Amino acid sequence: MVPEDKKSKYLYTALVALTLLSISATYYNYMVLRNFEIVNDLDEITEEES
Amino acid sequence: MEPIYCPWEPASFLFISSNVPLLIHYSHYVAIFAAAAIALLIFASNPRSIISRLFVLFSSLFITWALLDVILWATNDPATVMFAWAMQVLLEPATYAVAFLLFYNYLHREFPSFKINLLITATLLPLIIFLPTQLTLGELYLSFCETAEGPMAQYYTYFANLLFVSLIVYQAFKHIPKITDGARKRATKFFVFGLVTFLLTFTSGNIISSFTDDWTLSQYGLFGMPIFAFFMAYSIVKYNAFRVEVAGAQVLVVVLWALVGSLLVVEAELLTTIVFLTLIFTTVSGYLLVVSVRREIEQRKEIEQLVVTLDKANARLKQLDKMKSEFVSIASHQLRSPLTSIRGYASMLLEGSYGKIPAKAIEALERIADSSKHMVNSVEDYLNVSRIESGNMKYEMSDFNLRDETEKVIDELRQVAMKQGLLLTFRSDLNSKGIVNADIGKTRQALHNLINNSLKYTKKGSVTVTVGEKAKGKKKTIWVAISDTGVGMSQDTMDGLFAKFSRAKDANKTNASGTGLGLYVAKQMIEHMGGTIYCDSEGEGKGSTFTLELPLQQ
Repeated sequence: MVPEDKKSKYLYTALVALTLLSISATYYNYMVLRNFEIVNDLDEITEEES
Repeated sequence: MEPIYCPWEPASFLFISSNVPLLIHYSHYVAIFAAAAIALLIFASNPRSIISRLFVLFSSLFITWALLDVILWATNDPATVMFAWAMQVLLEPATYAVAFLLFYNYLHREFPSFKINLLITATLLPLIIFLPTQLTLGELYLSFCETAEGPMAQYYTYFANLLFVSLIVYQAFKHIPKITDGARKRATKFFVFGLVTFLLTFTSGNIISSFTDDWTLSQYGLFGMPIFAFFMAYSIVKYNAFRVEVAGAQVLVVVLWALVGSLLVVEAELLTTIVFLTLIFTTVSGYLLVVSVRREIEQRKEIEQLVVTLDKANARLKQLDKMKSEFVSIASHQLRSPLTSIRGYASMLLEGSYGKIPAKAIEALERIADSSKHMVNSVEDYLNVSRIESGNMKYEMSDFNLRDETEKVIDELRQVAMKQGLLLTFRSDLNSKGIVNADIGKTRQALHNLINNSLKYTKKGSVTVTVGEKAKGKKKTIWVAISDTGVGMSQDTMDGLFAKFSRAKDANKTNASGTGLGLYVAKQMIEHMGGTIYCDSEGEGKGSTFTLELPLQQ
């Protein structure tokens, strides 16, 4: 399931490799480091409701 | 620090949770089943085809997206939300890119050019690079476990999606009108219509949700997949796209099964809408299936009828063929006997067995003798063809010296050569005795035909017959090469030279009496005895070489 010409083949191989790298980085960033900001808007919601 | 969770019960088995609206089960699972069904059936029909594999990739990306969506609804863990959301941002344009590649391959039966591939990868590249950054996803709001989408997720993905859809539409408008096969044209139209409807439904649901922050809307986007499945199944059933007729019906049944099955988990207030949608789908697909089955039955009846007619025609043809062979055989035998008498009496008259013949009559008698000889040879050729074709040619194999037999044939033909003013020479390069195991009479006849053929097509110069041997691995063969300085021939003529009734272009100019059977008969007989005959020529006017080969008896 790859294109015939070599240039395109290398292009897609590089893209897939980069994608896997990026997915790993995202996983490490969010799931392991939990590196993201959490806005606790629970009180606001409760206030609006009351 | 303890991780903070969103305010609902954690999901069990990743996607069962009180936070998941029941419509999700309906929209997502039906779509997943539909995608999996089409992909599996198309893949099973032809696992090696690139289109089938791209279909599997396209469906897998979509199925992963849909499963991640259910997880997003169910989970109360902010980290899982962030990761699953980011994956969705990546998967969505990737699905569109593969959809484009799939359609391109379906249309052109090949991958796009390097430039288009570069455009695809360049479009996806920023999404991949900025995936773990705040340009894709910002902070997470705890109340609904939702994240604020950055510009990459909110704008760039939709730009990429629309770009791929535009490429598909452009390709469709540019190339579908050029398709000449009517059925393929209609199947392609259905395919592209289904694909674009799915992609646009999918995108519009997500775009609206992205801007309104009401993510319940995005779930309707997934209804595009059953629609796509419907169009795919329709084009398969109706136009036999992908050459999987039964698969089309199977896709319809699987989608119906999933639609009806998911009713079990739908909330009561949604039930009427869902049942209505299912009813429409059932009506249309049911009609299609009935039409398809009726057509199949009609075709089967036609085929059965045709088989009976063909059987009768076949039996009649066999009978006619047998009659033809018998006719040729009888007719040839009947012709041969009177011809032999004519020839015999003509030569007796010429030899003076019936007294002195006037000089004027001698010329006429010589013509009678020549013509009858020629006719006997022609009849013999027809008889041989008749025997070869009916498989009645008998071969009496024995060991004999091929060099000696070749010399004898040359002696017979020397007179003919002399009459034409040609030099007929013989040379032997043999080390061994040159014993072969074959039918002596048939071999002589083949040699006679080959040498005679060379003499006929040589106006001046010589015909040289050489006997030699060569080794191919352990097998040794003995060859007889007949080289002449005659008319020669082009590659085109050589290609069809040994076919029945085949004569060289302008052959009548050199040899008007040929039947086009001599070489055919010679080749058939020699090949039947394990040998081979081939010819070689450097071109017209440059002479030719015919070579006969038989295995050497060790």
